[in-house]
Amino acid sequence: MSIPTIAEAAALIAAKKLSPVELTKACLAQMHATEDTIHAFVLPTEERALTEARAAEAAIMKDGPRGPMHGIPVGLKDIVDTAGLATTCQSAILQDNVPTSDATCAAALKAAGTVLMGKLTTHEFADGGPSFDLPKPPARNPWNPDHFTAGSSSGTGAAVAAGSILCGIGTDTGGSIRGPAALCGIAGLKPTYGLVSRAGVAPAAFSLDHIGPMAWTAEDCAIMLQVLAGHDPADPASASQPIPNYQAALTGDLKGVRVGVIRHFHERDFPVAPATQTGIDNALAVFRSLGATVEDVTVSPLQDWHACGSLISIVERASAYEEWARTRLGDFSERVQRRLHLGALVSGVDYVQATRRRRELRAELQAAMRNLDVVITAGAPGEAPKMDAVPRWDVFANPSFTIPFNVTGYPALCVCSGFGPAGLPVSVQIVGKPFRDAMVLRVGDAFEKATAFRSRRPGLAA
Amino acid sequence: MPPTLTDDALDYLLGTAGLSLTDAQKTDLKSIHEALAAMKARVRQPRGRMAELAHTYGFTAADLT
Repeated sequence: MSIPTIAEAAALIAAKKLSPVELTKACLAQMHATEDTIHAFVLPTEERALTEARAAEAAIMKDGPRGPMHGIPVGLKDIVDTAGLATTCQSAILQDNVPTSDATCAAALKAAGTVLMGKLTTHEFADGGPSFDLPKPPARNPWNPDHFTAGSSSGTGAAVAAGSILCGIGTDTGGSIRGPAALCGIAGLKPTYGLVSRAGVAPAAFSLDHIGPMAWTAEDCAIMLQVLAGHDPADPASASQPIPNYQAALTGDLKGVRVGVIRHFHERDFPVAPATQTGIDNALAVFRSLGATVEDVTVSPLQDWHACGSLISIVERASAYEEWARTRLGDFSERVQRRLHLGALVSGVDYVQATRRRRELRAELQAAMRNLDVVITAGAPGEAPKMDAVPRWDVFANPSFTIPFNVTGYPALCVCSGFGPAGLPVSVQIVGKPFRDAMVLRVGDAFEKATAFRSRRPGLAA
Repeated sequence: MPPTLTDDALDYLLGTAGLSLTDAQKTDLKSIHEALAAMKARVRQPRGRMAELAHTYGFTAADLT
């Protein structure tokens, strides 16, 4: 069978035309066919998946599905705590770490009746890949395994694109959901800061960390977000906001939606590849055809946002991992060691100046979006680079298109907007106002349904 | 031009952070000093001493329960 979306699978399961066991076996077949090449999993849980699928099947036959995620095969990035199941953070330091409780997001997926296919590859502690000196090899791009997935939710991006899971948890400190979504040709949402609990997930940089859904479509991200969103007293950053029906917001049209384009980010500050530019231009044309208005907006240069987010990230990471940096530095990968070294060169005053700049940049975006519903820019500069072409000091190589929205905490979604000359996906990034994640998903979903990019799967997943 | 990062200054900063690096790692770290200094310059806008940082917070009703 071909791998369905969550929305398709949920409808078939509810109609008792598809069994969770059958679906899980199809995903396992994809995993077996691709895993030796793409290394998306650090810990597959095949037996557990089949057991959970059989339990889901029995429960659904008896009482019907609990919801659209019941019986859906999912994966968890391996920085997400799982009770009784190793959570290694892809680090030599945590090879024997077996948590005694689930992270809030893992518990939410379990309660929704999902089927856990395994723990997914990540850059070490969600930082600094690709690395070849870790306990497990880095994930590779299912569209072409010579190419990078981006990270740090590399395994989630690869496994969703390959069809080994229908969706998975990603985390995003500077673009770690949206980067792999962009390069692997899937949809990835960094929700509003505080919308999804971070409790039980290894920190990268506390004030920039987000947990969110990665799936084949924006609609599937909406279905998954419904399960994940909500207040959690265990997370000090958790917001207490009403949770809308995200799937109901997906109207398929964009009548009256006001779209801004931060054109200077991707045309002047850091010009993107022609295929990415074409994808953005085409997306704007689609938005207009669906009823949206489009106008340009201007904010500070992309490099300012990148500098602000990077300095904050360097210091917060260094503080989170200070004890191990002092006592076990050599046990980290070379790339993470370099990031931790940087912490010594950024002073307390530098950090506070970055947070003062952060307040200014947030105010700037708030003002720029006053009469807009979303703004868009690139999600990545182009197609995925080759694995050996990722710079040693990538934080200083190119400004990130994704980190501005970690700095602001605004929701941001990457969706596939076409393919480049190498046959690899390119993407567009859609950004909304705080807690207007439904609007971001609505725009992404309408775009996907008006275009044909979702009908093309990577060759490895065929 | 950013201030020069001397070997002594680097050793002091690494010592303060409790990090022990090889000579090759120190050379590698010094290679990005200018790029890092450029980042630091970008977050230093003219803003005056009254500008607040992003983490400033206010008490809410939850603080009183």
